[in-house]
Amino acid sequence: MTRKFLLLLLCSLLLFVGGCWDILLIEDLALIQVIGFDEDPEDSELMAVTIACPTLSEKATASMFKVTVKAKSINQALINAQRQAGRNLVLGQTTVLVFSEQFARSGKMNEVVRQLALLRDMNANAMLAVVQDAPAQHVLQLENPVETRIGVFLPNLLERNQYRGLTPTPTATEYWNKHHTLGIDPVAPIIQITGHEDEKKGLVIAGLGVFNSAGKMTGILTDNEILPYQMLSGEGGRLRFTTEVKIRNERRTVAGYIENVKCKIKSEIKNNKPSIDISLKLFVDGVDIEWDANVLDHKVIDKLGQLLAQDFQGNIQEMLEKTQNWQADCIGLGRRVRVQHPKWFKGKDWAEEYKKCEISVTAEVTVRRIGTLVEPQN
Amino acid sequence: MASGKKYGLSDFQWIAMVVSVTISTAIITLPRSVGETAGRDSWISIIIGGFVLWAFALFIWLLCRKFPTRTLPEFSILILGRPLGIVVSIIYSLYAFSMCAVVLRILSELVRTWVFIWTPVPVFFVAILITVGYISRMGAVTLGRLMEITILFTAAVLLMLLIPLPEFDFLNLKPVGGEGILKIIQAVPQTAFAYLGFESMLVFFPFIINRHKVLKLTSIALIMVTLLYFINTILVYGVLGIERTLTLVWPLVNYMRIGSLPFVQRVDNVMLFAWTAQIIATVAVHYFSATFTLATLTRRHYHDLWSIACLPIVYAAANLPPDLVAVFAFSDMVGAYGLIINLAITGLMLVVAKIRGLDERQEVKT
Repeated sequence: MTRKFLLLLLCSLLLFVGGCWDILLIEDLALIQVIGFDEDPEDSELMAVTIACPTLSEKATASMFKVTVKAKSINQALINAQRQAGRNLVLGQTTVLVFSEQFARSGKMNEVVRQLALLRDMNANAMLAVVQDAPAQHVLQLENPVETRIGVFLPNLLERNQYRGLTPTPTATEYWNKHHTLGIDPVAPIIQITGHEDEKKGLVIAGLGVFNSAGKMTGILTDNEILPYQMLSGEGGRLRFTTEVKIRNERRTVAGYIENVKCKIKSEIKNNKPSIDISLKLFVDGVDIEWDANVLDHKVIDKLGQLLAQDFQGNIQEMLEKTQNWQADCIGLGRRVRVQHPKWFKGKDWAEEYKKCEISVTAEVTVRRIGTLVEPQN
Repeated sequence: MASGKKYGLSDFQWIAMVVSVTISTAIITLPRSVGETAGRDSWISIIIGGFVLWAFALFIWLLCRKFPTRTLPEFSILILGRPLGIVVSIIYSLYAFSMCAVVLRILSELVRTWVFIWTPVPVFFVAILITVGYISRMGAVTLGRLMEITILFTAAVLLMLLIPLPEFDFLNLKPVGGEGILKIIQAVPQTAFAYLGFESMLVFFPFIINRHKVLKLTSIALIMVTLLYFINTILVYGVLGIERTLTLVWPLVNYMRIGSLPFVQRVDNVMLFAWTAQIIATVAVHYFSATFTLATLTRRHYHDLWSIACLPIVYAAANLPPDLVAVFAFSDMVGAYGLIINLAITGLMLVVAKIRGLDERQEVKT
């Protein structure tokens, strides 16, 4: 009798196995895929939040359900949006968060990412994007001819570009971790809406937004400056480059892959000011160049290596100077200084110190091979 | 001796039991709680904590091996006399019930925070306590077998810790020793709650088949636990950074939210569900230790009854803290007092047994 009773008790536990108390049927869910954030032009305290969810219904006239609400916080926005949605809004499948440039520059983006980090059902791996010269809600309204669902098109665009080594696509968690960590500042890709004035349906990745330690976007690295950023930060595996080098007074286009980057960063404190020495060793492969030289000659390969090293060195230096002016250490040089000189670093305002830093860059390029022709231009 | 004597715990079962009873909810908050004092060097405090607690385990082993066929209530009465022995046994039982309550409550807080926001707390308590009560009635050997299964399951789940590894950055852990030796030492006591559990040896020692290997087996288990805590802390700091970790109530869950598998998007949820089995194992071992101690005081006749009768005590104790702050305070208190109580009980009995020349092994020889 006792055993039967216990068996019955154990079976009753099965009631809790599926979390039946908090039952949420998938058919009743509205899976938010993309969220757009804009400033409200009428009230600076409010933000305009646009959400896009797939309709998942054969009877629906549109592939995505989109709604824009005004709110002071993300929680209020979700409540306001829920009032207009016939299904339960959930954030677990959110793949991209889009912010207008104005929103990012004002520091509100930082506040939103903080609020989202507090939401337990939020997908911590959602990617970030800042839209230039347009409100974020315009991005969410786009219907690209290739893929009309923005919730699919935008994440694919970001992921593919990251895979091809063209741009890093930090997640909300990565952004927030960097924002919290001393001596490094976060970044987010910049996108632009493309197309004819009447028919803007495309998107392009136009650069990388750089944020300062206060969480405000202070500058934008152009698409050419993303490569030096990736070389130094180690983000983005398969790096590709295309540049111009001057050989015998003639500018020649060079393209290739950066197979490996070895980066050594040493710092010194001189006159209470950090001096940072960056030494890079780059291994490039699959190089294509229009050049009437014998690429099987070691001197030719070495010469090209030297030219590329000069080019990369200049680009990196230029990029770093820009970030110094913006007081945004997106590379994380401050972390190196913290590790190498912890006593000096303690209590310092790194943003201020970074601006005053002396940074020198030396690059060494090893070219593994050039194309498939012995004399490419012939 | 109780019915477990006939079969006993195998070497692996004892290792599994020590590991299961030790790693519970502390692993989820350890990077923050230790990090508040030791910062980036918390992993050093955790290793030192492991050594200190191992020394404590050595004390318990020294006591238990003097009375290889007796459990805590039996040898405490023998050493300290009946009234004091009963008091010591009851104190130990109360401590074990408190451990059950703390672990149970932290689990419910964790699950309610991240998954079942609207599910009433009693649902978790009742569901787990019924299971624990049932397991406890089955005896020590069945418990050992269950631990064997649980530990294998836990090992598989722990592999999930590697998912956010691509985000790992060694710079987050450097400079090593930068926080200073004083802070590293100061953080050691905070690891106490995380390592408690192996003191169940006081009750389980007679059930172990190869008693001559107990120290070795316990050491292996404690090394495994220390290694796990060390890896956990290193990974959390390496990925999230110390600054972010210190802002998080449940750092391990936030860590597990990074990255996903092709077939599992929310790895943190999967780990939470799987961890429930580990929590049940922890609670079950502590609960059995407590009820078996009480049953031994009543001449081991009523263990089944004690197993059911004591469930409301754990339920009530788990309900005691009104909020999360009180839960953490309760857990710190149980950790600190648990360590002191166990250390005091063991030390006292070891000294008195030495003075009175009590040693069961010598009695057997003569």
